[in-house]
Amino acid sequence: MSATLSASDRGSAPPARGAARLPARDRLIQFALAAIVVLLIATALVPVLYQSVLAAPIYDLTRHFTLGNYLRFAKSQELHAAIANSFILATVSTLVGTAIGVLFAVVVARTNMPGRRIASGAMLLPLYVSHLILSVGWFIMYGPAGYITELVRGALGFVPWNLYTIVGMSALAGISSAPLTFILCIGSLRLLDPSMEDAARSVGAPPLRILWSVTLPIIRPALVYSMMLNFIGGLEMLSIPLIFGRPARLQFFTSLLYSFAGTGTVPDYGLIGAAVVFFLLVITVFVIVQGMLLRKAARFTAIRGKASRPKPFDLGRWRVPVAAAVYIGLLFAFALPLAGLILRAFVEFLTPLMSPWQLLTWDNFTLIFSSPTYVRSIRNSIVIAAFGGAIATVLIALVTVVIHRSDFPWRRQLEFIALYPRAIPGIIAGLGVLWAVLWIPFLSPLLGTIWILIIAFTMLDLPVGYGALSPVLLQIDADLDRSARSVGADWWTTCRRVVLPIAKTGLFSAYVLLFLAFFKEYAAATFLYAHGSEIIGISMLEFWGIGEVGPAAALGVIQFAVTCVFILAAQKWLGVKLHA
Amino acid sequence: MSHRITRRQACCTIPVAAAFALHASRPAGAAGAQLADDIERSKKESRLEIYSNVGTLNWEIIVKAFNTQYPWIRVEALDIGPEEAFERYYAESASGHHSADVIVAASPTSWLRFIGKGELMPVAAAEAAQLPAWSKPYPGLYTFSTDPLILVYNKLLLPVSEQPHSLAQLAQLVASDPGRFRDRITTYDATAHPFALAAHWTYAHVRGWSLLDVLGPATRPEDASGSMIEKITTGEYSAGYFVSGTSTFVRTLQTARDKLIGWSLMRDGTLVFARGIGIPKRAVSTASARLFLEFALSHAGQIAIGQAGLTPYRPDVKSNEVPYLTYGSIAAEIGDKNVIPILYDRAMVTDQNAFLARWKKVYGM
Amino acid sequence: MPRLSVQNLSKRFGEVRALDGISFDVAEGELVTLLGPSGCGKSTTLFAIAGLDRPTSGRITLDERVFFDAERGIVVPPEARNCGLVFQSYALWPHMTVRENVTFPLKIRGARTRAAAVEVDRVLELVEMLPFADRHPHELSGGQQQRVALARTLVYRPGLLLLDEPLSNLDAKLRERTRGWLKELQSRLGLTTIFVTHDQTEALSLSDRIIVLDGGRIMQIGTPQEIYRDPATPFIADFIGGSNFLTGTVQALVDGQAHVSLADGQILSVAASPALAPGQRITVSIRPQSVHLVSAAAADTLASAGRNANLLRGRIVQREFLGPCYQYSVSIADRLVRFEAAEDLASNDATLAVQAESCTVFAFEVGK
Repeated sequence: MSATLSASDRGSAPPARGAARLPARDRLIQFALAAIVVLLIATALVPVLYQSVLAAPIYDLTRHFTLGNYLRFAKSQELHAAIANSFILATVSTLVGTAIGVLFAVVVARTNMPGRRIASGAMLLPLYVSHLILSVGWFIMYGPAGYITELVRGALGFVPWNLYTIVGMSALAGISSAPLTFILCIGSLRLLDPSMEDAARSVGAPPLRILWSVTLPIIRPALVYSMMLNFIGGLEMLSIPLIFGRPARLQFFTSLLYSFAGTGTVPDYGLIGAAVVFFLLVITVFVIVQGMLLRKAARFTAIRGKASRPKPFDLGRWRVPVAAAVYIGLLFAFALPLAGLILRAFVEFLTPLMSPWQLLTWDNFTLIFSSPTYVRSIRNSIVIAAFGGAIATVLIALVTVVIHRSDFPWRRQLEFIALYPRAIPGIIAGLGVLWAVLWIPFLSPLLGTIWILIIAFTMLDLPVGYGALSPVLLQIDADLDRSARSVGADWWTTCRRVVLPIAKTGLFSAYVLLFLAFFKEYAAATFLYAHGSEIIGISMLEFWGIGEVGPAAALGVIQFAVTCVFILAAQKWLGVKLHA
Repeated sequence: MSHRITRRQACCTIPVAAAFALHASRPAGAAGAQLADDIERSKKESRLEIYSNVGTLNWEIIVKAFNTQYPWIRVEALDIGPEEAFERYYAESASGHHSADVIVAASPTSWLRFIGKGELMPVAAAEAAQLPAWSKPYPGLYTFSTDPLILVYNKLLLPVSEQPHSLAQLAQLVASDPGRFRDRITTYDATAHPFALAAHWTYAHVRGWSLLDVLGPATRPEDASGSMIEKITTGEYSAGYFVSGTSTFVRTLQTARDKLIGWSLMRDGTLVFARGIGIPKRAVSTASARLFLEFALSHAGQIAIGQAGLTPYRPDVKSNEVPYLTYGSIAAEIGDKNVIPILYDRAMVTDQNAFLARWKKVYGM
Repeated sequence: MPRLSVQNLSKRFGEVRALDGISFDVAEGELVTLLGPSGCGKSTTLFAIAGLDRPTSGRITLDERVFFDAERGIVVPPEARNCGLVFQSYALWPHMTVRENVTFPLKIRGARTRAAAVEVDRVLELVEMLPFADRHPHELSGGQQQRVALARTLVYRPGLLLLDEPLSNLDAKLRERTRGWLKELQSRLGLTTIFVTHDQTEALSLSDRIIVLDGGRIMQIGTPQEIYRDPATPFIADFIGGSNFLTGTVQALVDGQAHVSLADGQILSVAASPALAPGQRITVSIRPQSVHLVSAAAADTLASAGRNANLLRGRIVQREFLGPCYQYSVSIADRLVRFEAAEDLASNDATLAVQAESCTVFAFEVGK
């Protein structure tokens, strides 16, 4: 390739287009990448669509077309109730999570509350820890026989909360979604032109009024986006419905699907397919509406005047009370549940009726480490995250480069498709991929291997990688590409030799985020795992399902420990810092 | 797992080893030829897949004993729930995967459906000659264990005088103070899976609804025995009925837990599950499967099953050979007429919707 | 009784003094300009008056109200000072329309909707932006945004109007027009105004008084005419109006004139003053407008005539054609003298004539 280049460059004329090299190579690569992305997502969605119009299971050769599934879905009280519950949970949790997240973001980014960096770090940690771990921790601490519950009952005579209600569950879901709002709003708040708020002060507005009338409306794009992500997160939540919904006699769509994976009466594949299609349609409508709301965001790019440092708002005598509120909130929401989880892992069982010091044991851990099944599940999780994360990073890097740095005619559409998996709940993606594997013969060797998990996770977490890489690529001056092209490099060479090397820090960030995302996935694995390809989350749910909370907590502790070690290692060796 | 073995179990391993020595000699005749053939063929098979609703913890002991006799067979025993075991088999074998070679499940309706689809291989097990007729309801379907559903209670929340030893006693306790026990009693959720359905259906069918009607309003149903036991331990529940004995026995070995929970057979009628074992028609490792089936039904196998926390029923297994219960010891303790076997009754399938409708009303769901 | 009184304002960051003892007064209805190069402290002073920046010491009062007094620990927050501040970037709130932007200050003061709407319309009319009332800021041009920003401050009738380089984001033509419009508006409304700029033309044309700042200190306060004609330092002489500098030594004092000998021996006569004594090294500042080109013949005639004309010979180093005239740089006594002339000189030598009264004398400063 290069020999040809220099030979034709020796003359005064630049290499003619199409001469002396494969002109189609660039397009071929771009099409191949686009095709991979489309295939990945189709693998999850097409089988679901197909099954929804089949009268028998997708693998059953006697299948035939029917619209009866949709009719039966329209009449199914059980499914309607479950879907309604999911939407109620998602709505309330979005409101709660957004309010908390925005308040935290404002306090950390715009005031002089003491210890902001610590609070910011503590608020971000739940993003990298699986919801399952948090939910188990909440159960241990605030469940009906929870530690804190018993303490409060002893002190007050009653307990002001009940996690076995939809309100309680929504509050928990909201707390778990607050960190996402936090991180999205903080970025926006830091970029906010401080003269906006200064102007409001100079015309006489008191601080709270400025927050309400000026600050929040200006960061509205970030707010709307985070609300949508939180809403979808609430819909796809599996851990809280499983752990708290059952005793509350509340069925949610995800827990209903989960029960279908395990026990339950004869499953009706077609009906489930129809329900899932409906669910996805509603989510897609939300995504489109949100896109439309944000299209008018042009008016929010304000022209900056003098470069001025954003001045933190002085809380004055409110410094200490606000700090206290923040820290106490973080303590009760995240620190205590994690502490409870860790404690539970080291005791035979945890009950307020007996002191835990009498019950200390290594049993839970020896159970896990002496069983090849569970050791394998830990190993699988790490391998999938490390190896699968790397594969996903490479794929996403190439796809992002196609979207931002090429003249591929369907760039915008490719971006929409690459971001669509945000709208697919994890357990539904797993179900779809399972049906794909059952249906298409040449895919069947993948069933029960970790490869199918890597495929499913890659598809689900495309938006995560894209979100990390996209801003980095956008910041690289396009002239760098153009100069490479002008000296004769084609698009593919330019990407490999110029763009991607410059974007190295972005690639590391993407890898770290993808590792963490893969590591904490479990919902998508529900339908896809088999003996030999279990992962930590699935094993945790199995233990929980049979009531073995100790080993479940032990697995949670192991997962948490590996996560922390990885984050520290990433900071030290890859230079990737995870903070707001 | 070694620390979990009590002295009683340790004593048992010696007779077990002796038993292996006895049975290691090959039986004569046609059965012997079949066995030799199976042994040879099993060496060429890749692995033995068992789908079950028996816990992984329980399986480890049984598989270890099996491997003492047949060390070359690699066993993968999955605990995936009564319905899922069959569903997975249907889906995977249809697409040509190596699915279950043996199914061990306590789920009468699922077995009936399985047999109805013609998926059961009609194996004639040599050991079956030693077993009672009721444990071999269909050609190829045998019984793995007979597991009782028992009462479990929290010893700190219920003083000795209140600790129930019969269902009637528990019902009386609940009726005496409804406020105290509301949502503090637990049992299986009959709508959750066939195992739970079979338990409640059988009890209602044999003993009637009177006690269930009293207990229903106070009960909060759960999906799994493990959850029931865990929550009785933490005090979320005061007591549970129809709790799986299998799950309870292994947990009482944790010495500290012993201080907190106690259990009892239901003196006025204990449900006993016949946990079915069979070989699917589309099994891949058929020789290994047959060897396992024979082992499970043999004296040595039944003892291993007993050590694992399940309840053996083979008549020549004495109660001092296993750490917990045998079918015989249950009958001896509460009387033959109070043993309520859960059988393969087609009416369970046909009656299902009507039964569940009434059940949901009683349990407020 | 001055309206605004700033006394001894200082702001220190460690060793750096952003403001160093700033003191001045502004009278009712006056337009005072804070003028200086970037970093001189003019914006800092303005923001300190607005309350958005806190000095380390000093005192600020408006009429009887004390806004800031470091010694007595009084700090009035910005929202309570009722000043009108127009930002350099205009700082219009992008999510509100023009009308909503201007209504906001009235809503905060609890005005009723109907009354507020009347006021808002009045003010928008004043700045000629009423037709655009329902647009969003990103739909307006720079000049339009600036007028809306001004309207937003005028609508609540502030006691003090503070303008932070309001014209610097506009193009040259628009700047000129807006300058005149702004001045007319300010004097019509009689608003006490402080104007910050680095542009001397704006300062000279708009101000009632100019305060020249450099390095956090006040260099000179005076009317535009005073500053232009009598700059206090060579820096001001150069900054305002531009200046050429020649250095030399006073030789003799004769007839109310001082004869200064330049580095190349030429003699320059300047007006004598009591501060000058023979032997003193001085810097002479000559405005470019005071330098005239003379032909060789005219030079001889002048030499024998009037005693006030200095003739200096030099070598033309650069000439640029500007359109209406040429700009010359002539080297005299190792210094460059810049000026404009209509003639296109063919030769490389030039003779320049300077009136003695046009020369301003400063004590010698290195670098000037």
